Amino acid sequence: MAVVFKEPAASERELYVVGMGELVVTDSPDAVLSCIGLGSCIAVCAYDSQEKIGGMAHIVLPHNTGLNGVNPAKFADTAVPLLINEMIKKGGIRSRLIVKIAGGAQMTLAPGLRDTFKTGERNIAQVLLVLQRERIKPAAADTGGNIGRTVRMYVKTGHVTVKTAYGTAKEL
Amino acid sequence: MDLKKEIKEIDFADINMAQIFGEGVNNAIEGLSQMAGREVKVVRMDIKQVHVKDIPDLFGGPEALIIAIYLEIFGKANANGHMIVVYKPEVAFGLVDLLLDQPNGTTKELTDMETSTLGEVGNIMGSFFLNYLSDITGQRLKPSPPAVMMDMAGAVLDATLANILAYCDETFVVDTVFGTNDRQVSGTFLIIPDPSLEAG
Repeated sequence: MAVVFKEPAASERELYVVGMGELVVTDSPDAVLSCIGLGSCIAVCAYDSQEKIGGMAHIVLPHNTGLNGVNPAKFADTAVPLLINEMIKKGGIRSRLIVKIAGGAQMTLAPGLRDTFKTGERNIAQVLLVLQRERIKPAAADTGGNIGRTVRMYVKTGHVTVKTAYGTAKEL
Repeated sequence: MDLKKEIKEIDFADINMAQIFGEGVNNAIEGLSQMAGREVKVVRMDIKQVHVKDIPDLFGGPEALIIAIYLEIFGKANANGHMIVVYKPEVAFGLVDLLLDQPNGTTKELTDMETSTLGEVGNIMGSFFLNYLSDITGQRLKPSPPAVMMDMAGAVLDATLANILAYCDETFVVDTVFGTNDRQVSGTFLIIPDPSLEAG
């Protein structure tokens, strides 16, 4: 039977906000990794259930153009391999990693705008491509659409939840 | 209004830019005044440079609901910048009431009518802002059609600011309080010039 997800008590969770272009990997059981208010950005979550290691990357853009520093966690093509490597460094095993992705919304469908709002779509495509290169198939995904999302990962259990502006948190 | 007095926390090299944006926003409110058919005055203005990552915090955090009007700015060849006007939802509703001459508190949600009114606000403010900028920079600048969005601050802003993060980390923020004699609203303008616009 599937374990029903129940949010742990406030005293048993420690929220880590993973900001734009940041990447966090932890084995602290009380940690709750969170990307708050994702629009076109993507949260890539990785979990090793045996070692109970959780990781999350908050990806902003598909490719590094090299025009603004070299923060590898900001770009899909470098953030995904970095996340996997950091998971392995902490003791995770590649074949055991459960990867879930969420985000990549197109926030407006207004006519006349150029590619500004296609970033979400491009981010999703690039994340999927890089995961494929890494031979990892995402276990779950909640991407696209035109609403923002908040993503949380509970490191103790590996549960990932997605909440939208008008909705309640749902398990991914 | 003496903008020089208002300018704090900015690099000396940027004073000119901040001043220009401040005047542009003044001009945009003047446009709103004409749209409303009554005097709308700038009560307070605060210009600062903010790290893109910190912008959602200006509106109560990345999960807070906001309403944003987004315009792209077109110059000579490519887009030369972006302009985003952000309101808290209740403030945007108040602005709609002001413009439609309804008692304050009438508007409670964003339907087609309100979206279109706010889009028009974007059109007017964008054009007036860009007219001023065109005069100063000598470039022909025109706005894209407006996009009106209501969602979590983080989501709206990362969708609009993601491309900007590819080449810079900071943006100009012009906080304004404006209104008629009896009603005031506060809005925040985010102005993000491409390097090509700054060269002008």
